[in-house]
Amino acid sequence: MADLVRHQYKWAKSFTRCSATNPSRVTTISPYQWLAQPLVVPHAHMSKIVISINPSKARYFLLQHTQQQAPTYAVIMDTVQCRDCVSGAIHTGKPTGTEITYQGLPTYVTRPDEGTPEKGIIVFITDIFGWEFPNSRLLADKYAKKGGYTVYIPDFMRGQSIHQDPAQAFTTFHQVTELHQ
Amino acid sequence: MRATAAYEAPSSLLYTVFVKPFYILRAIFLFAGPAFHTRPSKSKPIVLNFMRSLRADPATADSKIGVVGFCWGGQYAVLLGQDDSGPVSTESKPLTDAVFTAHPARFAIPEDVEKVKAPLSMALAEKDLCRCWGRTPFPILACLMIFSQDNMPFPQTTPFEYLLTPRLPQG
Repeated sequence: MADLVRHQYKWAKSFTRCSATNPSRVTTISPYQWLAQPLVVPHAHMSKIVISINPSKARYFLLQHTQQQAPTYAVIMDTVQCRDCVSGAIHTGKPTGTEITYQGLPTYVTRPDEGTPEKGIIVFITDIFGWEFPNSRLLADKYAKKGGYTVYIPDFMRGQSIHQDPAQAFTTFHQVTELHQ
Repeated sequence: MRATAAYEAPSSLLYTVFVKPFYILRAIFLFAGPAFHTRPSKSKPIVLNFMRSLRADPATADSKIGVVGFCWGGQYAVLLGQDDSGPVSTESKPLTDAVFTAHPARFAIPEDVEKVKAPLSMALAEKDLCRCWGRTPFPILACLMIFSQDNMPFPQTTPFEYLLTPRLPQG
């Protein structure tokens, strides 16, 4: 634990903040200031800003660790964009893939459009809501159509996911985390 | 000040004391069954077997295979990017060519990240928890920052990136 405190102290000292309006201006701030700041950049190895997406609004920053052997990036979002980003929501829409048995498991499979070459395979491991959850299937469709991948969502949970009433689970989760307002 | 400020307002003391426990119990009731039936000792062999047969399948021999894992699936996505893919495996290279995970469950820093040999991309919320040094849950942002210090370098030899969303309670 002493190690942890020591490292936390060093970590706090090296905090810097990226200005939201001018990403190239990086200033050092105290931990107390940091608590009130929306955007934090761990400056020690990540000071080099490679790309700033949409610099006028400065919502996203792509940062690079400067002392790593391999390219290491951190994208730090300035803020959460919408209510549903915080609370989660069940998406509506019709999944376009098919259900097959693949490698011995019931699997939802969705493929790129006709005539589009397949770039590769994506195995989609779902969250606790399982392979039948519409959000997962719609996202897999997006990977297939926009990315050009064949996407498999196998039923790794053997039908034991929260698949009967995900809406109730979402409501309960919001009530616990006070996001129901 | 920010768009989400209204959702971050704390609820009243009465709600917290008298109403919330009921919802917490209900959440436990909802999640406990599925969480038990899909515990790692049951699910890990299923995931590994699927990935191995997918790798061995001649129809997909030439394809690149990536894995995305959300929440429950994150632990297995990270596992499949590791060089040995877990203690029961004898593979010398990862079962996947690339890994993306959002809000991974049972995620440990630095143990899990150190062993990952496939390119790894993570989406994290600031208040997500991970097992820092295999101990009690610790905020993932703090872990990542600690490990990006000089004396404890983030030991990456493969491409690695993370998308971090500040002030979000859960990925």
